[in-house]
Amino acid sequence: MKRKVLDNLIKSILIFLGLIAVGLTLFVFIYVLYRGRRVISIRFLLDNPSGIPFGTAGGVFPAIIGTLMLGGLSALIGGLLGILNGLYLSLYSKGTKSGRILLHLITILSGLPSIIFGLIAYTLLIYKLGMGKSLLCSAITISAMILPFITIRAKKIFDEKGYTFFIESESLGLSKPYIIRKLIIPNCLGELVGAVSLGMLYGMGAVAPILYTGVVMNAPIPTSVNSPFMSLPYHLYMLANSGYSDEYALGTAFVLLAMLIIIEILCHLFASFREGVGFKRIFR
Amino acid sequence: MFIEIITYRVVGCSNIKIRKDGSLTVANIIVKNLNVFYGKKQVLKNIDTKINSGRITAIIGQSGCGKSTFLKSINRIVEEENGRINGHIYLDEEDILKEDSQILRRKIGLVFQQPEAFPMSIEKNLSYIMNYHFNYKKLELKERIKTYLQMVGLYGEVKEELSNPAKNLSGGQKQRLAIARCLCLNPEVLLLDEPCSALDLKNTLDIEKMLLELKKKYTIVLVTHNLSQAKRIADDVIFMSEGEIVEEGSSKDIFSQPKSRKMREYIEYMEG
Ligand SMILES: Nc1ncnc2c1ncn2[C@@H]1O[C@H](COP(=O)(O)OP(=O)(O)O)[C@@H](O)[C@H]1O
Ligand SMILES: [Mg+2]
Repeated sequence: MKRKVLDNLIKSILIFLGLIAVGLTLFVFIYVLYRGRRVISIRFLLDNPSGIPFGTAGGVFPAIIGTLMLGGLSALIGGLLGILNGLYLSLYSKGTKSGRILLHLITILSGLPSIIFGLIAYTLLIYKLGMGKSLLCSAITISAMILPFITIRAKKIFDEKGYTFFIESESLGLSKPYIIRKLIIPNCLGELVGAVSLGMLYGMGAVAPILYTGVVMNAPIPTSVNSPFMSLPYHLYMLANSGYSDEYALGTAFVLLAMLIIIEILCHLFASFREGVGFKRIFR
Repeated sequence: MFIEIITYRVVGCSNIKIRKDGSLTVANIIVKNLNVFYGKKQVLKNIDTKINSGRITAIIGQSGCGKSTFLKSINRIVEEENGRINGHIYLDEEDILKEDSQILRRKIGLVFQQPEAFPMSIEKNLSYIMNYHFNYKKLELKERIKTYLQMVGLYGEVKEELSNPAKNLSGGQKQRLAIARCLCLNPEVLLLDEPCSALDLKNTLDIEKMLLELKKKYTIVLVTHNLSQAKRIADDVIFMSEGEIVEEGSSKDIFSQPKSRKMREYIEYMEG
């Protein structure tokens, strides 16, 4: 009897906390939408920014594209390296010293504040190597920032959905690369995409790492990875900082939020279809 | 059909010798002073034994005494789990610890104690392995999948759903699938770790019948908790305790006149 009361109490508290989380998200979303309602339009999405002070008229198109390009490139670099790291940690170096050391280093890396990544990248890439402020430079910085996150996630995925299959396959005389190609990656792909996309979303919303390495106030859509670029979070940061137009700032915030949510849903969909559960999982 | 395939493969195998009378013989396994460690823990101690070809050898003993580790050492998968193997294991004259581990593992197939069904369809569970080791044409591949599934008595149950995910199979079916996976290596040695632990009596007897048939062509080592199974099919028995071989000999001798106290106690305990 007592157990049941306690169980119900805990359940209600958890439901309450869950509702708070959902409510908060909804509130932010609706608030931003409401405050930015007058600037949000198709033209806002598809126009270049203009006006004086800059950004208080026109749209955010180059910043949307810049953010997407930055996210894509970072996901590519960080995702690839992170997955390779995860493979090494989970399947190649289980219980070895080198594996433990690498894992420690990565854990330390994951604790560094993002501004440190920006500063180190600035010193190394721009000051020492003479690279220009560019999309590539920023993508490398973001990749470094999301690398630990993706690595640790990937390792966990391979530990859970790969290791036993891996050992058993090896006992049948199959080579490691063959097992990884034919069994491990296909079996883990959905979750790996999920991990990389979460890392990417986190990277796409960050300002500090790109501040000194590539983002600018005003630039056309990048024509190569060596061009500087505009980005939504930075655009938002400038608008909000200057205080000239709250509406434009919140409109930008809405676009950023909506974009992140859409990408998240798409990745989620991909993952659930990989696992053959279709739409069901989103609502789980 | 099956015998043909085996013969055809067996002749292509380097370790198979042809006796004067034309019959084939597979290699014996000779273990000398084998010590195996996981980290600092010594799991196998001074194992010395000979496992004869053309016979079924059963390994028995309390759980935790190192039976699985012994099989894993012969297949050298212990190394991938960061275990350390000291000593010598010979397949006839050849020291398997010096051989390329991949080639070796194809010759010495191991069925794990609790085998996983690979996360793919039933037929791919087999073709995944055969495609790596052999160059079969599509038709032959299909034919072989059927043959191996028939050998483990699974074909009749799953022939309509070969392309369904193998993870939906029952525990016993998974166990038989794992045996089929091992057979499709066409190995010289078959190591089976409690292969019937999740099977009902009928399937168990079917597997035993298959093993009795296969023992002419393979060296078979079987870990079992089931003493009556050992009595039914084993020619030789190895009794282990705490990482050591306590007693070994022919099945008849060892069960009728166990020499050591440990062995007598174990038999008494198992037979209630
Ligand atoms: N991968 C491993 N790492 C560390 N210790 C292990 C590992 N596998 C087995 N052991 C240990 O080795 C001993 C023998 O295990 P095992 O060979 O599985 O025994 P059995 O098959 O006879 O039940 C046990 O004490 C077990 O804890
Ligand atoms: Mg065991």
